[in-house]
Amino acid sequence: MQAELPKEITKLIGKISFEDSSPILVQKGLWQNFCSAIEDSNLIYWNESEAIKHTDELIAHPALLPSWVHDFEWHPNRKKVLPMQLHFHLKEVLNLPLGIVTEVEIEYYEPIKNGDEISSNQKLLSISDPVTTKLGNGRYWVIEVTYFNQKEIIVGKQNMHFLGYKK
Amino acid sequence: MNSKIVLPISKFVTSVKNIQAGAIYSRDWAPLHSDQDWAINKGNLPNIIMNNYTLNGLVIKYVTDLYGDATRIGKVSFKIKKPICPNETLEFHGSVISEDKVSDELSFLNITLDIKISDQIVSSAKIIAGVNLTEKKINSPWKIDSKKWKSYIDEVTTDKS
Repeated sequence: MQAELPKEITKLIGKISFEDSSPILVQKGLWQNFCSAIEDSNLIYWNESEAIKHTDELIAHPALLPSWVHDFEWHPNRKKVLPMQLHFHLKEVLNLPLGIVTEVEIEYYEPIKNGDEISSNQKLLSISDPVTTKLGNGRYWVIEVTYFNQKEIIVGKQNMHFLGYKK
Repeated sequence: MNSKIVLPISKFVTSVKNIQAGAIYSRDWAPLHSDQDWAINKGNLPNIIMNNYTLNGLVIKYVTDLYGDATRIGKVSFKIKKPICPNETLEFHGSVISEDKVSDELSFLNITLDIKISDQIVSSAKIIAGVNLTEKKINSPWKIDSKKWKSYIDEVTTDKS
């Protein structure tokens, strides 16, 4: 049985619907702590004199790109902005309270450096017909996130594949 | 290059501390990655689980450890098949599926990777990486400007689709 998508959702397909600005500047201390957690000794994240041969200066670990637009868990002056707001919006409108990431694709175009200010926008690329999975009934959807630096240069792009469902 | 090259296996042992640190330093505050009480009692999980960013970090590390610090990652795609919990030994099993030489000092490697725990695949990944495979290390892949780099990625990924 097919359930029609609400117009509120179909009108989002292919259009930018949410934007995130950078709550913090890119910080060497954060990326080096991350590298420490995964025991990554690549000198372009750690050693200025080695990094300069390749990237002019130290660069952030590429895996952290999406994290630079994540808000603080707590802030003294405002409520937290959820990451991937479009995903949470879809869950709410479709009454699918649970969601998991099923696949991630990310392309890296420009190295991220200390002091960069990253922003992003989110676009719904596709949404499936209703599905029944082991987890429950729901739909799959794909959200494209494009990341920019402070010069408005696209630094990377990510496609997140989700399953939204209820038991 | 048409024949597959099997790459060396590497290992990473997970712990409560490195899963929590990976999540916190990637600014991922979801409790299933850092709060054991929440993960077990509210998340219906066996323990906290590794987040996407940490897993992606380990995938990238696997490639740069093998091909050198100057390796420039163009694209990573991965699927998570089973949650990754603390006190597990992850085994990284990679293969080079193809190599596209775009200049004397730049080749793109198309790498597939299975991440296993006790022979069970918990995640699989595909990586497109720019490397200089020659003895001459004058021009790093990182020196290519982002527009040119993106056009290479588009070209290589289109060839593989």
